[in-house]
Amino acid sequence: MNIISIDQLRQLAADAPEISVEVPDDALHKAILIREVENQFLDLFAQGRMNGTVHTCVGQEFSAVAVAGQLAPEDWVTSNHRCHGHFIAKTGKWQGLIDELMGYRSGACMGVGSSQHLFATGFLSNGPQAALVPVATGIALHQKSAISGGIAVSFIGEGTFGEGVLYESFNLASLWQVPQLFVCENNLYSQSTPQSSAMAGTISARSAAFDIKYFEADTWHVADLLEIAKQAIRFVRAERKPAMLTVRTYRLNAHSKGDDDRDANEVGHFRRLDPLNRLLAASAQWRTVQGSIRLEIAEYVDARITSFLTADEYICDQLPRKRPEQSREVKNEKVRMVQALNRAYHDAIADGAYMIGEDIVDPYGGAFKVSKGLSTEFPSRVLSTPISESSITGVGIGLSLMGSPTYVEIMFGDFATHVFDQLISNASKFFNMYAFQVSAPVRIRTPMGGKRGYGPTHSQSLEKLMVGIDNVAVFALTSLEDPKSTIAALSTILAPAVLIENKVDYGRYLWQGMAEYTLTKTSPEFGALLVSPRYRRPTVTVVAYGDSAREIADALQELFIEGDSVLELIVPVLLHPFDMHPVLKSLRTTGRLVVVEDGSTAFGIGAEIVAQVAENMPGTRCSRIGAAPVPIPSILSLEKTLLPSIAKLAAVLRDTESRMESAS
Amino acid sequence: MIQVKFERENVNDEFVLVTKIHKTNADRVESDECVLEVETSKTIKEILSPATGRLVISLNVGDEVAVGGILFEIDSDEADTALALNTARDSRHTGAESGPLPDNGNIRQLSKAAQQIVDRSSLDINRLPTGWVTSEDVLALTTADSAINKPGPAIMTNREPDSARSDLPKTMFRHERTSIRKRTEARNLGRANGSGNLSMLAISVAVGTQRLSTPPFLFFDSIADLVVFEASRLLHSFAELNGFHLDDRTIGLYDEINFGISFDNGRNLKVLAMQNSDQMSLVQIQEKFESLLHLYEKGDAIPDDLMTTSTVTLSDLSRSGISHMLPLLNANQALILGITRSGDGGFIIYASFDHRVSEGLRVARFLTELRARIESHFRAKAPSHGFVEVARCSVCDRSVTEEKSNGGRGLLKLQIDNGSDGFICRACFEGW
Repeated sequence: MNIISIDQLRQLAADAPEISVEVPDDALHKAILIREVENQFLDLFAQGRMNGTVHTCVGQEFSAVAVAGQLAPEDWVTSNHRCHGHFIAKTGKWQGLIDELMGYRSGACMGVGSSQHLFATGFLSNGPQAALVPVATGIALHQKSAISGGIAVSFIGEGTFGEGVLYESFNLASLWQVPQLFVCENNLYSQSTPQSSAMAGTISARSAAFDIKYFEADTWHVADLLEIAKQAIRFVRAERKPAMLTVRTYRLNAHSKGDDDRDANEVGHFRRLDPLNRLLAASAQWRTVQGSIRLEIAEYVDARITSFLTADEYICDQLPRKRPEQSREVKNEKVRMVQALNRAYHDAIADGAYMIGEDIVDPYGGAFKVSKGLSTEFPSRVLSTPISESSITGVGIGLSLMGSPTYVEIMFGDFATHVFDQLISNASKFFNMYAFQVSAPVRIRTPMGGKRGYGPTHSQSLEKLMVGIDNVAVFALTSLEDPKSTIAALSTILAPAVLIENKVDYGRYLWQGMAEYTLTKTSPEFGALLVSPRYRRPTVTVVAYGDSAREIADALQELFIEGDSVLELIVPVLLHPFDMHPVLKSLRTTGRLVVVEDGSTAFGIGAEIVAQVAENMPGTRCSRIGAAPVPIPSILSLEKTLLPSIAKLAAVLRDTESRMESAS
Repeated sequence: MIQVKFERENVNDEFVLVTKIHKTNADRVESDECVLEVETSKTIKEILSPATGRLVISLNVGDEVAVGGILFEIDSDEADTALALNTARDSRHTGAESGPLPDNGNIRQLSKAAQQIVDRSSLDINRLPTGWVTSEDVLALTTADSAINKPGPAIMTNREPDSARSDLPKTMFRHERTSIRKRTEARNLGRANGSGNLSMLAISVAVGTQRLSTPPFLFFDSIADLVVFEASRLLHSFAELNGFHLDDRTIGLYDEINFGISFDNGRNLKVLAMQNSDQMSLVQIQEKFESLLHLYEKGDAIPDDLMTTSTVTLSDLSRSGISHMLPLLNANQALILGITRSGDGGFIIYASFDHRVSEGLRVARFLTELRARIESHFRAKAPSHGFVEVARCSVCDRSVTEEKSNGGRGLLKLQIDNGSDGFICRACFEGW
């Protein structure tokens, strides 16, 4: 039965008996502990001694105790903003939780995450609704084949059913038959919105739609709750299949602090029916236990020594910012870029990586055939997914969090817009948010770029939306160099990464060089490529990446003839963090910079490079070339005029030289 | 990257002049190795590298760097890689100094813009380097051709181009940078010397009763012809005196020596140029004197080139009865000579000069030498310098002491035309 009205819930609670003796003492102890910690937080908040806000789970403790409290150490829990009970029930670390909310260095995440962003082995929580659910799916996918037999549990609220990624995760979990338990704590209100105003249909129907086994319980029939939760957990663990458990409950406090518009009589009614309140009212023994717990907590709070994280300790990331300068010449085999990528990813998967994405398995082998043959050789590690860019990114994060670096293919870079929430809310933040305890080396690879007439949503270059995201490395692969060195070197960094490939570049043979130029790389790992004139000094520094860089390299002679310029072409494979050193070094000779980017120039990659040049070498003449700031049309001739081209670059170079001539 | 700047050493200098560069851009230098030398108002200073590493420099000899400005940088972290790019970019460079590297046999290719310039300028394409040639390379070569033998403009220059000035002489001249010391001196002179930058020295010239060769009547009682003749030749050794102060960093040196002769009949002072006087014989100079005098006295319009091309001036007042004078410089000149008569029958030559261009000691040497040369045109006479000597040169009257002090070993004894014995110094024997 799906209860969606207060009256129904009220009736259910009223019918609940006293807590029976079948309920283990440790479960009761745990529930009281959770409540007393929550009450302590409310006191600390009132005293102004807490950071941020707090979403207490008073009234819902038995949900946490019944599920999280009955899990095994190898099981993982993901939770949301109302996570304290889950955290205490799963990890037992109530002291770390108190220190965390008070901002102390000794907190679970050194005070960085506070109430909503907690981590311990086997536990993660994050603020955005449903954000961690696909991550848990990835964890469950890992657990599916793990010897430990662990499961993943995702706590959500009934309000979470408004988030699309939740349904993507249901679909994936059921499709892949992973051991994931979705636990919905239905307290009938998401913040101020009652369920009846936010949900069409029923929760059970949703579960049935995805062929996920459904369980139901409530926090007033505690013994039944414990038993049903045990059954659900046992099902998921034994059958290695997903299940959903809805726990009907009611929060006795506000959503966070001071934001409770519910009817006071209604709240009062549930407070009276609360099983813990009834237990404590009836049992002096448990009141004594409550007192001792309360005292222990208070003494702990009073004894804390204030110590906070410093800026120097906190400001860091996992990005490869320092690389040794070891220049070496680059020589390429005569293979096509798509083949080179296939080889490189093959080696990565052979080393233990996963690759997931839409239509990547054989015989199709991916929209651009980059993954051709990989699923045949690695059937358990190369998985085709539904069209669910957001959740498969989350799955990739979950897999990589569990120690399996994962390549998530997004078929077209244009669809990367679906990826941003997982990238920014989860992957980007884990390392710092969880106080350096977590790494999520997910690799999102996607082809970008136009020049094929694919139109506005299949031709974009969105890299400028990705560079600069905290702790996310962004690469632009190019056929100027075999990508195997970059892909192999990814194993040395634990930061999440975006690998931008290019549709047009796929078909090119790796660059074979030209007599008048040398091709070198400034550092073996993630160094920039330098295409430098062999016999004379350059007259202009050009920075370009991806396929544009390849086009320019192929047109160096043309640019000399038409543009009256001898280029030194600098091709950063690593766009973020960006290494300015080769650019500045080149500018000391040329004094003139042109940046070519595939996307539009406004607030783009060129803007960042020019800004850094202005800071380091003021007065340097700079130009940027990019796409026109409009959606890219399908008309090939029009598309050509809107995107960067060799002709445009030659015109910019000529304009420079003519200015020089007139000045002299 | 380690920046090496020139720190202020005294209150006079606002900039220093690069006089020597011992290394080129991208060279590897060792710690304490001398990279370049700069001239201050006081001295020439060696600038050493503070560390071992790769040199980054874009200066040229002749460039000026402001005190506190960067002379060069040392990249002490840079690995010795094949990427060490060649010379620093300098749009003022001539192609010969910083153009393309050796072509290793590459075929010469011109960009379209370069080809257009070549076609317009009729430049011999074989003068261009091989490899890829841009318009900048071609322009550098054409600029070098038309430049007046000067190593590129200074880093800090606020010098007005000559074309913007209306006060420059018509006579062709070349630019020469004055030293830092000289500029500082000129600046200080300007501040302290309210009357400008004029200095004056004088020297007495003792002449005998008879010249070795009889001059025209006009010069029976004058040495003006001798002064022009000898001074014109002497100015080759004192080139700045045949120049003028152009600006606070530059003097102009005339390509020709055009002695201006001052004529004043009381109604109209004019200075008429005796052009290329250094190439004229004494007789030609004497004849030119007469023709210029005639032209002046005739009162007709005088050709502009005679009026405007003097590079140095002579004012002969030896017939006026005055004993002292202070000749004033004409515009765009650094020297004016004046002649008066001294009480003992000799002459006094006055030299007024621009102290921004030359110096007292230099002018003193000029006058001393000029006197000796003028006196050599006269027969031996009684010693005029206050002491008795045993032997003197029969031609120039130089004493044996003077000869020895000039590095000679003594005087030669010879039989002169009247059968008597005489002495001759080495210079008179070999000729000037």
